[in-house]
Order: sequence, then structure tokens, then C-alpha cells
Amino acid sequence: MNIVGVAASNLRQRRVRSLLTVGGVAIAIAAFVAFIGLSRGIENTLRHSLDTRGADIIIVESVSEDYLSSVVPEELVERVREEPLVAAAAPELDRMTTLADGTNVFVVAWPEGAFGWRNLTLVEGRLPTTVDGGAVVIGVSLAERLGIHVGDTVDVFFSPFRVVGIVDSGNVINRNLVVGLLGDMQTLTYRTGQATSIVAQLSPEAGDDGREAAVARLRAMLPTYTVDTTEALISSSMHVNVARVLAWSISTVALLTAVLGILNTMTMAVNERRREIAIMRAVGWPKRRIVACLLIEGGLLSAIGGAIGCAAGTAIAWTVSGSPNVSGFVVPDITAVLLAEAFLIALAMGMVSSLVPAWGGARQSPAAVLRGH
Amino acid sequence: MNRIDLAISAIGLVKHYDGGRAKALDGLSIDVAQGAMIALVGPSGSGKSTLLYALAGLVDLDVGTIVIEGRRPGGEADWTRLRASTIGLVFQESWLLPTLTAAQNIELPMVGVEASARVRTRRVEELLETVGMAGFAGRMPDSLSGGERQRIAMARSLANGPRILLADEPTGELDSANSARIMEMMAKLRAERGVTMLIVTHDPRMAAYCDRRYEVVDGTGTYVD
Amino acid sequence: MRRIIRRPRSSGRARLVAGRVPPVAAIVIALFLALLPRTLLAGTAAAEQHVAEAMSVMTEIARAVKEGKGGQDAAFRRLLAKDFDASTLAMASLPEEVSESADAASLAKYRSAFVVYLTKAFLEEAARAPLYETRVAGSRNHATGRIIVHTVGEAPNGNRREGDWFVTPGAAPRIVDAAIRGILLSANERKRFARVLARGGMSGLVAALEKGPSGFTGSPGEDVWR
Repeated sequence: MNIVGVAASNLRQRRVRSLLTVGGVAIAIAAFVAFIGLSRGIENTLRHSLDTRGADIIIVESVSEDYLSSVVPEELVERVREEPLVAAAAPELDRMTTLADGTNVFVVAWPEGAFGWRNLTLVEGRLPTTVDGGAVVIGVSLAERLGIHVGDTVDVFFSPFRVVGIVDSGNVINRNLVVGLLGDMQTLTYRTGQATSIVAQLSPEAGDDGREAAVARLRAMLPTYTVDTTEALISSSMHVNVARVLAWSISTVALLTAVLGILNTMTMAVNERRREIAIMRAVGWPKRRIVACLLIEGGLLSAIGGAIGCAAGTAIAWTVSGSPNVSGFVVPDITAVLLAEAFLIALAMGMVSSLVPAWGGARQSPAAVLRGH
Repeated sequence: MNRIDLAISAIGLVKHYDGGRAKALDGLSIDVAQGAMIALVGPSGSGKSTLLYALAGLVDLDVGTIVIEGRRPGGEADWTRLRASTIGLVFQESWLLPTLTAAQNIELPMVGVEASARVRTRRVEELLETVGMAGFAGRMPDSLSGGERQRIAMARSLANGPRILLADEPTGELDSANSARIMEMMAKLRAERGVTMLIVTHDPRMAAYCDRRYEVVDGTGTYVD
Repeated sequence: MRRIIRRPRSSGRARLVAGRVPPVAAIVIALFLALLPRTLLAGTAAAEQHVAEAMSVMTEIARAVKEGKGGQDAAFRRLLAKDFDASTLAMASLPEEVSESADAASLAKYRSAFVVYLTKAFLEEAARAPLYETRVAGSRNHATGRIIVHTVGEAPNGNRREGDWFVTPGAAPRIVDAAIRGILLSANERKRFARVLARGGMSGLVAALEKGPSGFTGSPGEDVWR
């Protein structure tokens, strides 16, 4: 037997209380893992979506807080092409729309021949051309979900478009996109001559330094626009920041609640075991070993709760991401690092919450306790 | 008597409670020879238990000096070491930890002292034999009788091979048969291992086992035989 | 007249008919054809005008809400009654199988509760969101015969809110649906209502609608009004 064994036997004998405390910790850690995982997933999905569409730099209107509100003149692309490290640039129009069956989808539109088209992998059919007079390609996941095939018609911005191809691009957002020609979408959204952004692809030789230099030059050239790498744009996006703040604030509340729960449990445990603690002192246990034993109890509760919470949080995050309303827009980013962070937070919670009652318990006078005072 | 031959020497012990209104110890002094078995007697509330706990370092004295086997404990750490090695305690109630088995309760004082699990296990078995409780290793305290629990407590107090045993009414809660068993065990311990014993008792039969009686009255005391 | 009415020359019988169209009919047909584009244009212009006026009233109500003026509940209901066909919107927001199987009394209660819901949703959003100045950007005909009027709203913080308003053609246009930022209201509310319907049926839905948007906390669907 060692002090871990003593701690474990204490927890085993007080099963209901131990289980309830473990449950509280598990819920808090599950909330942490799920919320943080989902908010990071939103960020990553947006970033990856822009990455796999081949854009290194995005230029949007400075005034708007919300990316989709941005309006830039289409001809701005000519000025962007003047930057020596820009290999390709194109105007891009982005919008949400509702299909006839009520499904909300994200629509991206580029001019014919824009570099973005080259980053889409055609699974079936072909890319739309201006000759089609109203054609789109759709992402493979969207096609499967809605049972749409090449040759079918979909309503985009409440006008019929023929599906001429199905595309994949290794990214959950892009697999659920509708992609069309800029001119068609400009007409339907009354944005003739306008786009949401100018997207640019840098030369492969640019490197990190080259990217920074290109961004700096573009910013100097276009002072009234926001020029960002896709990375920076995602990080500063209002929606991403809102998601992050929500995730952290909700998680913090959940964690604090769990801390209070453990504190309550350990305080009760110490109060109930005053005589046991006095006996430990009487048989020669030093205060620090008694404190260590109580800390281990708190640590064990929170470690078990943390492990369960990590599993539950992961399951919750994946369930949410698979639900019909978000399906296609977010994949949780739950890495081993996040789980390790969550587990360590649980452990720390357990030990910190146990420290005060443990120390108080170890300091009480054994004689007074044993004599019934 | 030479101080080196004394197991315990306490001089001028004072302990007041309630801001001085209650005097548990009021300048008490006692010398205990090595290997002696002393009964601490006196009326209830005279300070006998306080004296016992003070000699185990469990009471914060107001004034006084205690020397154990020729050395004066310097502070909390010294007393803790003494209780883990030299001094064993037995109480009126067994105070077994309810979440540990009988064997684990006996092993409790050895945690952090004896590193080898094998040695600890062997020692627990020996002690269970000594107190006549072989076969009870895996039993939980709430499945034992009062006498059985007290025997396990006795075994626990002997776990680290103490040379001094302080017992606070060890037979107080027991029937005559179990009391006799405990008393015989303690006498045998003293005879075989030379353990010095101070026993708070109201039981004249217990006192009869002892060499001498030290009477405590109103916080002071003296040997009466 | 004969120049306006073009008949295929391959048919001798057609040539014969062309030569025999009575003048009155020809005049009527000609007038119709001449006026058709203008009629269509008049339809979209009327729809645009209708939506522009409705937007103006909505902006004024939102402004009054922000200034803490009372009585906006009634003002919005008047707007709904005059410029919207809330009943059609309500029915479009109900899953088909429910609208077909529910009895007339439940549907009447539902339509009434829907107006309460829309009113509360608008007023809550008006209090919370920035004030958008909205203009009509254009219009087009939809395959259903309705006219889609496109609006663009601009807020002081630079955010834009685009709307597509589905208007019935004719002399007394009414707004029957809307897509705000691309999300169609009726489709969105159908999703939102479906969960409540599954739990509590029509009576549950009516009760939730009377609470306003808070009656649908946790239900799917975008917050279209934002």
C-alpha cells in the first residue's frame, strides 16, 4: 500500500460522492473540449477552404466588419496583378443562398479561367463556361446529400442553373460548395462590376519572406483596402473571433463550476475525516504526506473525470458537426495537444481545489480532534 | 536516575485552554524509566489524556520540556519522526480508518517509512499473529467486533517497532474478556521487547499489570507507589 | 398592323388566316404586345416601389425602437397587414405534411401566432442590430410568377445586408417571402419549426411562436434576421 492506495481506497468507499464529482469534472472538460474543438474547427475549416482554393492573399473592403459584406470593384484585380510576386489573381464573389429544398449553401463565383477553378478536382462532368448560359459545379458531399447529379437543375439565388460538374477538393467546406461563373452571380445579386474580394496566388518561389513583402507592397498600393494572407484574415474574422470568445468564455464558466464542485467535495471529505487525519498524524504521518494524500484524491477524481470528459467532448463535437444544420461547415479540430491540455487542466483543477481543504485538514490539532473537541 | 536510562522525562508541563480558564496541565513533571509500565490514574478531567498526548507531541504545550530517550524533540518534524519510529499510540476507541482493510490499517504507519512492500507485508502478518488476528487481513473494520478492532489498533501501534507505547484507556470500550486479552498482550510486549508503556486507565485490573501508578490531579501529578 | 403580327410563311393556311384577321382583334393584340413589356416593367417597378416603401417604414420602426419610443409593435403589425401577405408566408413556413393535415382552427391560431412571432423577432432584432439604410438595387421575375426585388442595406459599421423580397405581381403587391443574406425565410423557419412541431405538435408550435424567437432557443435554423 502507498499513499495513492490510501487515496484510492477513500474514493472507492465513498462511491456516490466520488461519482458525482467525477461527473462534474467530466461535464466541464467535455464542454471545454467540444467548444474549443469546434471553434478551432471553424477557424481551420475556413482557412483550409481558402487554402485549398489556392488563395494566398485576399483583398477585401476595409470598412466592413463581416467578410461577406465586403464590396470591391472587379477591376481592382488589374492592379493586384501588377505585384511581381502575384502569379495569378481573380475577383471572387461569395454568398449564401437557399436551394429549393431549403438547404443553405455557400456559393463562390469566379470568372472563367480563374486560378481557383484549377484547384477544384473534377469528379464528374466539366467546369461551367460562359457559353452554358447558367451552369454551376457543386461539391461532392453536397451532391451526395441532396441526390444531385450532373445534368440536374438547382436554384441558385432563386434562378435555375444546370449542374455540369461535381467537384472535390479535400476540404469539408469546398465539398459542400456551389461554384459558378462570376458574371452569372453578379447579375443575380445585382453586383455587376463588383466582387466580395480579390484573391491572389503567389509564385511558388515567394516563400514566407516573399509573402510578407508582397503583402506590404499591396497594402501600400491599396491603402483603402484590407490586404491579408488567408491565415491572417481567418484569425481576424469577426465570426471566428466570436466563436473563439464564446468557446473560451463558456468553457471557463464550466471549468470554474467544476473547481467549485471539487472544492466542495474535498472540503466535505476533509471535514468528515478529521479523526482519520488525526490518526494519520498520530501514527507518524507528516502533514505534507497527509496533504499529498488528499491532493492525490482530488487529482484522481479529476483525472478520471478529465479522461471521461475528453472522450465525451470529442463525441459531442463530432455529433454537433454532423447535425444537419452545420453539416458541411465545420469539422472539429480536436488534436492530441488539445486533449492533453484538457486533461492537464482537469488534473490541475483537482489538485488546486483540494489544496486549501487538504492543508486546513492537516493543520488541525490531532489531540483536540481525538478527544472530541 | 541517569537521564540516559529514562525513556521519557518531562519537566514543568503547562497547558491551559479557554484563555487560561481551564488548566489541563499545571506544571506537571514525570520521569519514566526505560522498560517501565506505568499506569496513569486520577479523576476524570485531571489531565491524564492531555499528558499522554503531550508526551506524543500531539499537544502544543504552553510551557515545559520533554525529553525522549535523552533527546529533546526540536519541533513538529522531530515529533512526527518519533511517532513514526519510537512512539506508538493506542486510543480508547480503535480509530481504524474505515476505508482500509485490517492489514492496510496495520500497514498505515509503515507507509513512507519502510520502502519494501515485501517487508511491510511480512511485518503485517507477524503483527496479526501477535495480536491473535491471523486470517483477518482482508476484513474491513466495520465487520469486526470492538475487541477485534482494538487488537488491530494495537498491531498498528506496533507497526514501526516502537520502544515507547502510549495507551489512552485501551480497554475502556471492551468487555472483560477482551480487556484481559489486551492487557496480557501489553504485558507480554513489555516482557519480551522491553517496550516502555504509559497507560491511562480507570481499570484497576489494568493498573495491577503495571509496575507503578502515577496519579494526576488538577494538572499536576506524582507517583503513588 | 400586319408587320407586327408575324406568322410563319411555310403554311398557306396561315397566310390565309393572316390576311383574314379582323382589324379590331389585330388592334387589341398589337396593343397588348406593345404594352406587354411596359406591363411587365410596370409590375417590377410597382414591386420595387412597394418594397422601397416597406423598407422605409421598417427603417423608421427600427429607429423608433432604438430611440425607445413605444407603440412599435402596433406599427409593425400595420406594416405586415399592409405590405406583406403574412398568411402566405406563414403557410410556406410550415412543413407541407403539417399544413395539409392540420385543421382550419389550428391553422388560424398558427397564422395569428406567426404574426406575433414575426413582430417580436423584428423588434428584438431592431433593438440589437445596427440601423441599416436600405435601398432597392433591382428586380427580376421569378419562375413562380413572383417578382424578386433585391435590396442592399448598409450599416454605419460598414456591414451590408442584402435582401431578396418575393412580391406578388399586380395592382396590389404583397411581400410573401424574403431571403436575407441569401437565407430564405420560409425555408429557414420550416427547419426551426419542425423540431418544435415534433415535440409539441401545432399547439406546441403556437405556444412557442407567441413567445417570439426565445421560444425556439436551441432549434435549428439560421438567425435570419441578423
